Amino acid sequence: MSVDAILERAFQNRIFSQAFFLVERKMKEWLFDCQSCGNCVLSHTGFICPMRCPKSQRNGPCGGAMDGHCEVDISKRCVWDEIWESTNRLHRIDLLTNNYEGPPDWRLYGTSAWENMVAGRLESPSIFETLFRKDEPLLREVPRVVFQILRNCYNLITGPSWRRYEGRPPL
Amino acid sequence: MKLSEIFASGKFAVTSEIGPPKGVNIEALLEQAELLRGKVDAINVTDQQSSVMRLGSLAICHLLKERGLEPVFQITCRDRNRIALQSDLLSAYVLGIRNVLCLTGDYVSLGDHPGAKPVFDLDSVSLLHAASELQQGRDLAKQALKGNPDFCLGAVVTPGANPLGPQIMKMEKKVKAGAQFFQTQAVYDPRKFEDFMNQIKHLNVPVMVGIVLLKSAGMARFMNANVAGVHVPEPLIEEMADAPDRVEKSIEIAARLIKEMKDMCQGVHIMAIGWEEKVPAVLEAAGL
Ligand code: SF4
Repeated sequence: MSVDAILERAFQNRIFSQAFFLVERKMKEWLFDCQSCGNCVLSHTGFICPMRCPKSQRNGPCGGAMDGHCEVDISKRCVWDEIWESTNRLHRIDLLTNNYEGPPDWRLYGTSAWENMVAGRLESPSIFETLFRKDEPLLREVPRVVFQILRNCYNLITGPSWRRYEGRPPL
Repeated sequence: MKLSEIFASGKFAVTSEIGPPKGVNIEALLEQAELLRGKVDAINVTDQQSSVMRLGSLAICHLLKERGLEPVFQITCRDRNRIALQSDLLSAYVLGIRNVLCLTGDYVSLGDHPGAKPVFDLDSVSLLHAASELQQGRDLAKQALKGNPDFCLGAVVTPGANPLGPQIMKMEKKVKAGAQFFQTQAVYDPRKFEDFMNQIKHLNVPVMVGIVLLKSAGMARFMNANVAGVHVPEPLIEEMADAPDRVEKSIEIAARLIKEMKDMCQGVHIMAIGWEEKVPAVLEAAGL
């Protein structure tokens, strides 16, 4: 039985699904300043949430990014500059180039992206397919990815990143 | 006529740009368009550029079409959700508009209604995707259309962006989503543009180099400091500052840039920003 299938079963239990979402939401808020769009693409974008961008750009930077800063507020770092740096460090530029990210389904706003994923409500492929590189040993890949997530999180807290609700209306 | 037909014929394509006014007096705008008759292949009509509320692009494109001029309908994601965007594309088609330039759009707080709700339901890539889907006879909800539109879809790219990697990555996605030609942000450095063109050779898509008429040395410095991906080299700024006649100099510089970059790309897009009446002189000086 695959992880997806086990989770799909478990999500049918209401208590499990609500507890899971509580943990998922809090974790993603802390680590990624997640906006709970319910249509998660974090595993494609180097674990940087593109919905933090004032223009919610999911496929690449807008034309206004200037030397890594945002056109809306030049003191802020362009979210896509963070994404580019993180995916480069993970050697996963292919995830950006090869995945067309469709517009979010707004009916899923504020719901668990994991539940939506295993229930097949999202068009993007399963996170398990994209999380780690296939041609590298898992023993090396897992710490790499975890380290990058923590590094991004440190940048998010200390750097001039866009944070939740700063300079733009909540989603 | 679609711009794609011009590229297919191997002709060097020329477009320019007009911006609808804030208000309903359109005589001056239509006069600007008349000056371009027979000189350019198509005229871009901007969609509330810089997020300043103005007369709409669709209406002006229609008026140009009625007068036998070829418009390029610019459409941005700032003000409309996916329903309105798709609907406006269909409306454009029945009004005879065939060239569409899909953009993300400037952010609302940069314009004159900074408190407006920004939409950005789609981005430029998903807008191109939506337009391609409409051409295939279905909308984003996968519902069938009664009659498909058929456009020549365009997009934009900034060759001078720093870093350039994400720009090229997004450009590739735009091509995959259906972009058939690109217009670029203003370029003042032919060497850098050549580098850029070499890096995107594999995409095999027509590129029209963007030329913004330099009005003064001050404008050049302002753009260097404030406009993303635009860099006017110092010698050009000095040339502008020392010129006795700014207009003449500006035309000379623009024509020189076009001549130098003509062989690297498939067309030129001239943005005059208030100096629209100088465009024919630029084209003449550039031998186009
Ligand atoms: S963060 Fe700012 S500059 Fe970067 S893509 Fe979003 S709006 Fe554009």
